[in-house]
Amino acid sequence: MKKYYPNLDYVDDMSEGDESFRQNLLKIIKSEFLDEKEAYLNYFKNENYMDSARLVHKLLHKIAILGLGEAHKLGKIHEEALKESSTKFHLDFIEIMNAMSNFLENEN
Amino acid sequence: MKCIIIDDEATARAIISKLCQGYENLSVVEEFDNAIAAMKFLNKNNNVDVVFLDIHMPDFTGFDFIESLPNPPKIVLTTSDDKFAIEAFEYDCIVDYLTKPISQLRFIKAVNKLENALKNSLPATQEQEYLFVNINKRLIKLNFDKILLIQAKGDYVKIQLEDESLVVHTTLKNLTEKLPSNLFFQVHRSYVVNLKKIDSIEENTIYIAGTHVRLSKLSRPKLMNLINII
Repeated sequence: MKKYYPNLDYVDDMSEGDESFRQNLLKIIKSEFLDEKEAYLNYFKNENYMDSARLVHKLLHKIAILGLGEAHKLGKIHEEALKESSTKFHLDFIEIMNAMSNFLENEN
Repeated sequence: MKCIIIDDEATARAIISKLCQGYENLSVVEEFDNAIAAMKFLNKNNNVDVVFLDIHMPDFTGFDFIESLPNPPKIVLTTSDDKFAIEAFEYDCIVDYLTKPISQLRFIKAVNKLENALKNSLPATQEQEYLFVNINKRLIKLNFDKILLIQAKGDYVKIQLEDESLVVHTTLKNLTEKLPSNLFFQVHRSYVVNLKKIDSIEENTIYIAGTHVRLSKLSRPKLMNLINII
């Protein structure tokens, strides 16, 4: 099982010491991530793979923001696979989302 | 440049908005999470210069949006992948193509491209080479090439010329809007300099005719892009 180590380097660069912006951006990322993750899981459960792929695409931005380069590549492959109704990368993608969930839960 | 941001992702809108804040001449007038609402806005407001546009949106893509506008403003596409780059440049209104997450350095290039594109799209007019300032009810003509730098001083600005200085009752922002952006650049919250008059730059200090001016961390990369460096 591959391990993923998210980071906030991009968020910190973008914030340039503006703590209020940093907190607000993190709040938006967390909230949107949880909504998108839930939507993805629902679409996937209902075998709606086109909408699942659309959600993967939205999640790619947050994957990249959290510095997960390898995961981003896998996410893109998963997005294309879902468009062909292939679910072979679903569990790998779940691992990525779990790593992001755990990381964001512990970030202030 | 007045701009709007269209992106169904709040994270992306927050980041683009923050990046725009780094530019005096770039103001975000509205943000939209869908293209339809943005189209309605543009139908009522024809003074938008720039649209930061996400390609991937449900129901109505970025390209659908562009094709629906009879006279589209300048467009900077934003996307999480690069597979639309070739298609993007088939549209004359598309000035740049930014891949998310957008870096500050890449954003600077996009703004430079926007400035050039907007300048080139303006009808050819005689370049203004001067402005008049009101000092003690007297309008004094100032040639741009005589101005070294301008310093904000509360409700006043101090204009440093080659042989004298003038204090004018206005803000730095108001005055900067009257100056040509290819010649004058805000290097710090309190200073605008004439790029042609810069003698040297050392770390975060600019030297102009024996005077030194602070260069802010945020302005430094933008300045480096504007000046001719070997």
